[in-house]
Order: sequence, then structure tokens, then C-alpha cells
Amino acid sequence: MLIKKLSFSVLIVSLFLFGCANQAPKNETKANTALQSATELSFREFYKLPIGPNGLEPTAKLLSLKDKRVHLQGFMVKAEEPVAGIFMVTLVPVNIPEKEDGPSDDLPGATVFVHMPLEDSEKILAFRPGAWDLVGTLQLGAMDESNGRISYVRLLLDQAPVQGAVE
Amino acid sequence: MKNRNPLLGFVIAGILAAGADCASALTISRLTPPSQLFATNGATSSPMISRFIQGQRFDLQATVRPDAGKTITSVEFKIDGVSVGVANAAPAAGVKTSLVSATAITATAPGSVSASVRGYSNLVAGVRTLTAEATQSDGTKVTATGSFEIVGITQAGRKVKNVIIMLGDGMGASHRTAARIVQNGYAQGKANKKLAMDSFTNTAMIMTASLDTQVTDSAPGMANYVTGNKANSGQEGVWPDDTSDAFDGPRMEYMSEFLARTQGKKLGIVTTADVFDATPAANAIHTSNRGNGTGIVDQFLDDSLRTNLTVLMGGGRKWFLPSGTTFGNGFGGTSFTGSARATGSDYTLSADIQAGWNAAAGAIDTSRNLIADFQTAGWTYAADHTALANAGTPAKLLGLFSLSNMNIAKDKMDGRRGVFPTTSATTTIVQDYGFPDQPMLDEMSTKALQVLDANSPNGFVLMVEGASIDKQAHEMDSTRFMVDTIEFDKAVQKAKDYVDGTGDFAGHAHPDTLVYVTADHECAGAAIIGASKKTDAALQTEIATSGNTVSAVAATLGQPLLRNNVVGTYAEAGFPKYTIAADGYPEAWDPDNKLLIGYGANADRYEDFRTRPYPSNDSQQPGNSVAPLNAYPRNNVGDTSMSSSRPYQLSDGYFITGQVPGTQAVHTGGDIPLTAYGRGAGELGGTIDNTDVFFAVMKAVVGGTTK
Repeated sequence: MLIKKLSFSVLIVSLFLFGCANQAPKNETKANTALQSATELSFREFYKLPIGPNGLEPTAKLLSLKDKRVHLQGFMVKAEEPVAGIFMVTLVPVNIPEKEDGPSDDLPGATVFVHMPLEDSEKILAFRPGAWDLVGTLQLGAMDESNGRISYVRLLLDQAPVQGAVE
Repeated sequence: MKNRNPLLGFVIAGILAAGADCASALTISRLTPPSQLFATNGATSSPMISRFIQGQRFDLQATVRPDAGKTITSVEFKIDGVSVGVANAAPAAGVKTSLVSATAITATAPGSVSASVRGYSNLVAGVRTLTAEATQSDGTKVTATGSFEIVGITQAGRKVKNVIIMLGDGMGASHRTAARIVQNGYAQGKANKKLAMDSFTNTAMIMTASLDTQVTDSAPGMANYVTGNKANSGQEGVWPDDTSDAFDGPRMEYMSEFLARTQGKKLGIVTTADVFDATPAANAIHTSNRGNGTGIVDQFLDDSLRTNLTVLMGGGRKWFLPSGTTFGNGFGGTSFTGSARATGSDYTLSADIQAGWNAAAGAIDTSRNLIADFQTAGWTYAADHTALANAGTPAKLLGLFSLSNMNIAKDKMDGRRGVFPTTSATTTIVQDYGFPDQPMLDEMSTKALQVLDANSPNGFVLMVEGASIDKQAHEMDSTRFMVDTIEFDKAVQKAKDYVDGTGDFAGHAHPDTLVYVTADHECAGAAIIGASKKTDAALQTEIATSGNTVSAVAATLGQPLLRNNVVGTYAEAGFPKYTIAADGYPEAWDPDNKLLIGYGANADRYEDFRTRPYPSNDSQQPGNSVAPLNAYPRNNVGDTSMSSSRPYQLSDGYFITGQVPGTQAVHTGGDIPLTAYGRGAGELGGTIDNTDVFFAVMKAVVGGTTK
């Protein structure tokens, strides 16, 4: 798998980097600590594959991680009309052209809705391409989201992702 | 035309001056069906906007704004001076008229109402005058006048029994040409072979505008073909209105509904998109919001006895799965099905619509297991290609092959070939999505034709959509839209085989079938600009070498090197050669000297000319901590001052400034080609409006044809 080939050494910043880019060494230590306390979860471990005639079936591993800290690696969904406080991450790069197609989309079933911390819930996170490392608390079950979609797996972040200093 | 009794014409000027925005002037601000006569207050009746064949149903509707402090008590509708209904009460069971609050405008125009007569039809050919007369609570009256045409059909020739609409979404002339070059190649200036859609006997150019814009979206783009009338952006089978309910818009009858009602014909809908998407839905569903998936798919079943829907295939399983807490997989009562069913996109219909259209009431039922309901209603359900192949020819067939849109033809073929998207990947894209066994569109089309043929003694209407021609043109993904066009053309061949009794239908010709290939609109302004001057190996080297750098040579200072070194135009373009594999698709997506596409309606993008590993442009490099650019990406012309500050997105080629805002290429308003084959094909020709196609086809189906 593409993402698994990526070395952790290049994942300079996790969600637990507090502060600016010039604090990287200190934050890297915190990030590593956070990663160590989180269970690795692959998007392919969300549901039984291939997906069956009656829809998604969660795996025992996914169910066992309810309300637990997990580490996910995936791609931020490029939304044409992003909303504040949440963004979607999945296992392959995906664009969703809501203006033209609405909820007729190419989202894989294993999509996680990432919720920003309360203090950042009014912010819209800028899209960045590439593979993201995310650590947070896993929440399960159907829920209406503010982007009009229904989520089944959510990741509740403790800290908003740091996107690095603007050049 | 509006005038207020008893002052008549003297008040016209006053009403015009006040306009629709005046909240205190008694006026009829909307009269449906739309007409130029009403829109110009009687100044002109040309062009004729709303047209119907004899007996085709449609709704009459008026929005009335009262004087301040007054209410509207009734609205009477007259055709050529003869009353056809008085709307004076809220919807009631068995009553086709209604008077309801115009909820979308009451905040600015208090007391406004929407008055309707549902399911009206007229058998008398010619231009008819529609008058609405509204009465206010103080007895004051206001009238408005519009017009519509009933198009007469004469009985002559042999009738078309089956209609097959092959709809290449977003497919303009260049999309077709690109597919031909890739699939068949050229020799000494001539195509080695035509596409199936090229081989059709008759051709027309189609004007694609919708009611409200020169550049249509897919909802009216499809609906206009099969209702004979113009609809607004995002709307399917309805005209605009002034209520906030997405399912109560004034309706016009679809070709499928009319032919089911009057001739007992069956309906098939096949798409590579989510089945609720605009094009499939705009053959049978009436809603002003194309995004209301729950209500749309519910109506497919709820009204299937009225539409005679017999085949429904595509993606979109997420709308058919139960949502909510009442259905789950044994975990805390919560649902993990992947259902997208939501209250906000579900539907109910008012009593007047039920009465006028014999339509189901609908329900807000997000926990509905729609797959089970289809099966209970006698439908066979196929969830993948294998199940589809083993389904035989059931009475009714439901195929749902993915949660939303099906994967793109290129990615489905890579799945069948076992090709991974990158050298480091260990799974195919269709495996990543969890649907490794999806059918190709031609396989779906053959099955649809077999099922319809076996169950339609009176004929059928089948719409087959190649959806991702459009979706990938939006993404400016040249390989994927071209391969989807090739997939679509293979489906076209199946329809031609059905007519001729060849291929999958060998020995069973169906000469009374009309097939036409068309598009709802063009997408992206796609243009064949030339071909790569490089072998693929050399192109990869060039990408690595030139990347996003620019020329330092005076004559081409600041121009992107990758572009200048790769794009061959005119004679340098030559004729790209793609080798076709045994499975019928190009052996390599990036052959030497590959075909190159430009986009006239493009958004900002990066170009490196090679096929993207995934159906989304992404660096696939670590994304954390990557800073947003410190400025809008620069143009590549003479701007070298920012080279040290990384003005480009790395690894994605050079930057091309978009013609349009946003991240997606857009539809364009140019005419698109239509080709036709079989009985009645000769009815289609010239440069015509998309609504003209409806009348030409219905003439051949209802009245017969010698062409």
C-alpha cells in the first residue's frame, strides 16, 4: 500500500504539533509520544471487503476501537465547498465536485469525518494534497454532518492540524 | 400578460413599474407553463416556449402576490377562455387543484400564494391561451395571460416501438473524436474505423440551453430531451415555482410516463453514475433539487407502476440502504450500512399532485430498506458483475454496483487486468473502493436490452448514460474521459446490434427501434490540441527534468519548458497510435506520442501529460505540515522572480491558469452532435433545439414515420 510505504521519518508534523514550524524538534517529540499511545488503523480495516450487497459491515477491529485513540493515514478529500470544523479523509485521493454533482460522488465507503477541536470548529482547513497522518479519538455510528452527509466513522482531534508556516 | 380589472390596460404600466419585487401590489408574478407572452407582458409570443404533444400532461400554476394586508381567495385557470379549474383551498384528497402559501417568497411578499391545477392535458393542436384570474379578499381581481402550444401528430408510416437514448454526459464533438483516435487510429489522414456512434445514419447539431441559462447542467440537459420543455438548472421534470418544497414543483410529463400510460411501454435506466444523479433521474423523477437522493430513489420504486420502470442499473447503493438507529449491525443499535438516506432529501407529495398524477404519497422514512422493498415488489437485485451475468432475464432488474458513482472505465479495466495505480500499491483502485467486480457499461446495456426485450410486448424506452465522460472532463483527466467515451461507444454498439440483430443479439433484429446518441451538453471545452513529441520514457524524463521550470532563453523567457518540449501541434502531432488489447481497450494509457487534450473551460490546474495514478490529481507525498502557497500560483509567462519561493505545486507539472473560478472545469454552451440509427432516424437532422428532439421522436413513436 502506497501510504504504508511512506516513512514515518518524513511525517514531521502530526496533529499534536503545538505551535509553529520553528518548534519542530520539540513538537516532533510530542507527536511521537502521541503516536505511541494510538492504535494503528488502516482504512482497509474499517469494513469487510469487498463490500457486500447490503452495504458496509464494520470489522471487529473497527468496533473494538470505539472511543479509543487511533492513528490513521489517508488523503484529505478535496471538497469544492468545504465547511468549517470538519474535513473528510479517505484511503485514495478524491475530489468531490459538490457544485455540479452534489452527493453523487466518488467517496469510498471507508471515509472518516475528521472533526476539529471545539476551539477550531469555526475554521475551514485549507486543502493540501498528499498523505495525512491523523491521530485522535475514534467515534462510531451514524451522524448527520454539517456538510449534509452522514458519517459512520469520525475522528475527534485534540488539536487542529498545523499546516506549516506560509512561505 | 397581466392586467388588473377593472382598470385593465391602464394599470399595466403601473404593475410593470412596480415589478415582482413590490410586496404590496396585487399581481401575478409567475404563470406556468412559462411563455414569452407572459414574460414580455404581451409584447411578443415568440419563440414558443412550452410545447406538448396531444394528451401530454402538465401542471398549470400561478404565483399571486396580494395587496398589503389582503389575502388571495381563489385563482381560476382558463384555456382559450374556458375554465379548467379553480384553486381556492389547501390540497385535499382526490382534488387536483390547490392554493398554498408561496413559502419561498412570503418573507418579502407576505400572503403570496401558489395556485395549481395538476395533471392537465389538451388534445387540440395549436397555440392555446392560458389565463389565470386571481381574486383577492376584498374582491379585487388580477389576471395574467400566457400561451403554450399543443403539437399535433399525424398518423403516417410505421411506428417506432422501442426508443434507446444513448446519453454521453458532457460528450462534445472533441470527446467523440478523441475516442475515435485512441480506439481506432488514423492512417494517412483517415480514420481506420468509425466509432459505433459515428456509423449512425443521421446527424443533427443540438442547442442545449436550459430555461434559465445558455450553459445547462445535466438535470435540465437531460429533461429537456424527454419532456419537450425547458427546465431550470438543477431541476428534473418540473418548472420553477415559488414554494420551498423541492417535490411540489409544477410538473411536465416525461416521454417514459406518457408512453407507459398511453401505450404500456416499459422503462429502463442504466448509468455509470449514482442512479439518483441528474441524468438518470431526469427520465422519471419530478423534483426541483437534483441532490435529493433519498426521495429520488424512493420515487423510482413508488411510482414504478406509473412509469413502468423495469430496469434500473448503476451506482448509488447508499440511497437504498436503511439508515438511522433502527437498523444496524449489532453495535449499539447504530447503523454502519453506508446509507446516505436523510430526512432532508426525502419526499412526500401533496394530495393535489397525488390526484393529478396518480402518484404515490411518499414518506419520510430514512430507515426504509429500499433494496428489500424492490425485491418484495418482484425485482431481482444484482450487486456485482457476476450476479448480473447470472441474473438471466428476470421480470424486473435492479443493479447497484457501488455506493455512489461506479468507478471509471479506466480504473475498472485496470481492476480486471490486475494493474495497480502505482508501483508501491498492492491493490487496484476498484479493490480500494471495495467493489472489485463492477460491470462495464456495454455489459449492463446488453443485460438491460435482454430484460426489456423479454418483458415489453408494447416496446420500451431505455436511457443509457456514460456518466464519467462528463465527470472526468470536469477533472480535466484526459485519459479517463477518453476511456469512458470508449466504454460508452461499446454500449452504443450493443444498441446498434439490438437493431440489426448482430453481436449479442445475433439473429434477432429489431428494426422498429430508434437509437440516438447525444449529450446533455459539452463539458470542459475539450479540444484535441495535438500529440506528445515524446516517447513515454522520454516524457517521464522530461517531466523529471523540466518539471515546473521555465525557459531562460530570451525568445521563450518564462515559458514552461515541459509544455514547450512536449506539445506537438500541426504536423508535429501526426497520428497517435494506441495498441488495442484483447479486452478491447488500449493496452497502455500512456503510449509513445500520446494524444493531448486542451481545455477551453478549465479551472486552474497542473499538467504533466501523463495519466494520473488515481482519479484525482494528488502528489501522494506527505501532506502534513505542507504550507499553503504564499500567493496565487503564478503564470508561466515571464515571471521568474518567485522561483525561489516555490510558486508551483510540486511534482504535478506546470501550472495552467483557469478560464473559470473554482477547481473544476465547467460545462460549455456550444452545440453538440447527435447521431441516430434505426426506425425514425431520419426525423432527426439539422441544427435543432434539444426540445425539438422530443417532438421528432414522439412523432415517430405515436404517429409513425417513413424516415
